[in-house]
Amino acid sequence: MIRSLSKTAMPAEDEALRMPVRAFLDEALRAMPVELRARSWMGFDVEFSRALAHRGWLGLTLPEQYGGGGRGAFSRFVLVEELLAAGAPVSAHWIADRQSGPLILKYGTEAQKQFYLPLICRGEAFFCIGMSEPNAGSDLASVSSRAVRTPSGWVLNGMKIWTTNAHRSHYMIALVRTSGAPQDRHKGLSQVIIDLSLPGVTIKPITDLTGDQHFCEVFFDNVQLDDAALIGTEGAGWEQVMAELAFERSGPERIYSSMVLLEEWIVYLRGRGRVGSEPIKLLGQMISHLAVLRAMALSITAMLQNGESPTIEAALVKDMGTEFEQQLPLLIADTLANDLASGRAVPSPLLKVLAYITQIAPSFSLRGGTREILRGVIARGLGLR
Amino acid sequence: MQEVIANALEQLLGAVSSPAEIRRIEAALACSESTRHQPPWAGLWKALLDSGFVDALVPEGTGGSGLSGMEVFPVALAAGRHALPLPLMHTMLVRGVLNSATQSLPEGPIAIAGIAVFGSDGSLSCPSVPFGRTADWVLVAIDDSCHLLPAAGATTVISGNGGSLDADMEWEPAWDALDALNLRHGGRDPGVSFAGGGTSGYTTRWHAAAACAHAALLAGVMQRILEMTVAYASERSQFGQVIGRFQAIQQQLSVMAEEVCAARMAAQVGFSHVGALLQPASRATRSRAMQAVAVAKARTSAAAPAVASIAHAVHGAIGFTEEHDLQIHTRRLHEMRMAYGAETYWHRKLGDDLVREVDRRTVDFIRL
Repeated sequence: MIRSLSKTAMPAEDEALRMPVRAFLDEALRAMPVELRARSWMGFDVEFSRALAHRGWLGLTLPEQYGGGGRGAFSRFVLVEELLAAGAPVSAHWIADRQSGPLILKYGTEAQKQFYLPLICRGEAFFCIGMSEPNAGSDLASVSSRAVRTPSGWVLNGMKIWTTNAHRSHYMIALVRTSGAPQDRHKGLSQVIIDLSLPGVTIKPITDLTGDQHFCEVFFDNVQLDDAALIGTEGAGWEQVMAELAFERSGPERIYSSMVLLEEWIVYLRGRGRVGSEPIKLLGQMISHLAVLRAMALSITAMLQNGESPTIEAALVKDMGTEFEQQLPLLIADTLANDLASGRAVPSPLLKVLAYITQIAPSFSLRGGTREILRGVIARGLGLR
Repeated sequence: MQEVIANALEQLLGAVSSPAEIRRIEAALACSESTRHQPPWAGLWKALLDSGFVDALVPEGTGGSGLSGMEVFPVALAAGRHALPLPLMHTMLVRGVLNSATQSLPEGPIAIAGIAVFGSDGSLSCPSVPFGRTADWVLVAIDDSCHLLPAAGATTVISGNGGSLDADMEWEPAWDALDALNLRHGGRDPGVSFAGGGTSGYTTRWHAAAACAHAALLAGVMQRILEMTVAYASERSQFGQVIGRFQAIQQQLSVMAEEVCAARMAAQVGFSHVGALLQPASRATRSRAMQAVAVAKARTSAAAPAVASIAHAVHGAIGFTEEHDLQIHTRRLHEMRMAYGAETYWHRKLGDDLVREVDRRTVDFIRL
């Protein structure tokens, strides 16, 4: 069954992180145009990532012995919430911080932890996720990239696609087949850490419909990996990937992708003097949804902090969150179109931000598990599958 | 504490507020206007009185349990799940605020009127009072005072359809003579001049508190509707398998589960603030409480249409019959959505507040 979510209060010691982070961001992002801040967690800025690392805000939940902040999930929630609300350009370190680091902490050898985690915490190692392939999207278990044993490690052949930031990352953690055949599906899969500078690795960025490049194709042509490339247990790749996806789905980021647009629209409304009842109602509707989503996301964090595995509940909140993120630009588009057609002046930056978010919005419910897959997970939680 | 209360009430309501009992009460109300002297719900109310839940919010010094809003949240949820045909939560709120050493309230169920309208002749009418037909008393908040009027003294007309428990109630011009509250205070409740709180917005606050109670009832009844629908989809077979195996059904039920989950959290958002509405509190705290209630009632109301329509879609024709228990719950669901403001009413409140608070960041506004 699906567990009930209990409303959770943010512990005071974690809440205390908010104002220092906010003060830093207010200053650091002062000159950043709103059209760039609208990119939110897809905005890539190495210097910004290093500046966060310098303040101890990368790897916040990783142990201090590896250079991390040694703090809990609630602290990270506060940090992420402030970063996303401000539209901070966190893309470079985002995946490493959110899931690759925690994965290495959970499954890595001591040597792997000591090598990678400090680099992640210093903002010197950026990671990407090697899961999807051209013939393995939602059906992830059908991956065909293969790592074959050699005397010194593995040789890898195959390819990945839709790999965010592969062209700007140092490492990839990839799900590959290490034994058996494709029809074995979940069995015989492993995860490997690939140094993307190795010979045989070719990366081609994919331009998306907004004109930006985040997704990539990554080709592996007889890439020689050493023994230490294997992370976790050979053959346990599927369970490890499921754990990694739980990290990916559990933060507050799945509700805040459109925050910059929302804030910009509110600034516009406040500047108008008299606001009609339609936009007011619309704003209230958005707020009522967002406030509840935020409370649900925080409740999931509490479960994680308690050592629970809220897989189904996280899928539920992610699906609702991305639906909200996608609805927001559609609703704002309608009300702004009404304003424009009625002869009102609408600021150009707001319209540009709206255009960008509208275009990028379909990707919100494709990344990290599509809507239909997540609803299947929920259905399983209801006992229907 | 919450779990202990929840389990105790679950057991009680499971036994006494069954669908059969609800049908019996509704049928008795339908066939006779003069049920006031021997109400069909008398036994049910007595069971609730005996359980002690009715005084859960009353301070311990005055003979209650002194629980907080969040601690009694499971009570409201359970009342919703069992489609309890009595204003238990509303009675608890009124007794929690108004019961005091100098004023002991009558024992019967108390409904809270959403709106009070004065006729030109001085009569007082309250349209669509939720649970007006199963209440002994109605709390009517007017300006800076509140009055506890006997249902028996009103002309009561059912305001909904069929087994609705809501009623249009009207009292003749001499209604203040019927007020059960201590008239030496001129009809005001003793706590009305809170230190620093003043009396402004009193009517609004009672309205909001009732809306908050309804938000939890909505969350509870939607939880029950989800359970019934999943059970039905797991039992009903067509085309050689249970219909719950079809993806179209699964995806709809997932959407339903999402709405129910959100509704339950929304109601908790409201209940975590409800105390500030009716106890002494600063203006800022009270303002936040109003916003929390707005989120609670708006979001639970917004979930109702999808939950009701998916439930009836999955149940098919059998769920449309009077005989099937689904209708007991979906009828209540729609009525509760309408009471004390639905989506638009509370969305406007939230939108107005956020636009007006020019220095307020959204990320702070939503952290209720």
